[in-house]
Amino acid sequence: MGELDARTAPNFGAGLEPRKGAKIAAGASIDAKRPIHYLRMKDPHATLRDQVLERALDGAGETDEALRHAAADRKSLPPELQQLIDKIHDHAYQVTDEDLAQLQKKYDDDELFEIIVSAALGASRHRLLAGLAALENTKDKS
Amino acid sequence: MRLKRVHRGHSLGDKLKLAAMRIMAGHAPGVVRTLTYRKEYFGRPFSQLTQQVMRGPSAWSVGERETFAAFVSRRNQCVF
Repeated sequence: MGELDARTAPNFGAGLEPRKGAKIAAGASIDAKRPIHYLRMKDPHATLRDQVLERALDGAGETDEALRHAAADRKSLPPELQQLIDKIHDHAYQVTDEDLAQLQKKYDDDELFEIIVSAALGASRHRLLAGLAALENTKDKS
Repeated sequence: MRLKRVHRGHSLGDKLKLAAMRIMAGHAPGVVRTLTYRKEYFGRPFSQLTQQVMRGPSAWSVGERETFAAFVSRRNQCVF
């Protein structure tokens, strides 16, 4: 899975060209002068998708915005959160009561709620970008 | 529900709605509890997105979209 910076990538796919400075998944190279296939398509959901992400990562909350971005981007995480965030990104069904019980010694439920929501939304964004990259690769081969 | 506050920490109005759901349907699903907890933070914008994606104008029929969702949930080993 390529790198994703949720702070700079939220408007990806919102129009015919990505927002300036947008970072996207490795392999999903963007040439603004030659919009790739899926960017030619109207994407009616991009605005609402971005609003969900921005509200969760940058909206008022109990946790620091940097921590929520770290959960979404899966990097620069406090060590105790790494295992939970890895599970959410890779196979959320494997999260156990014990995973959260350990973290509840340090974080309250509201903080964990925000961390989990941020990680889940970040994971979904990674998968979306991976899917779009796959479409681009398919087009390039056709 | 692993986070007790998400299970029981709703506003009075939402507690009443969840209680009505329990009476009528037998239980209030975790996904509903999650979407109604601090809904300005997550549930409301996410529900607006879900409504648009699953029921809004699209080249795909509602049934096709539901099938996509079920397939993705299956791959994620998540009950749909």
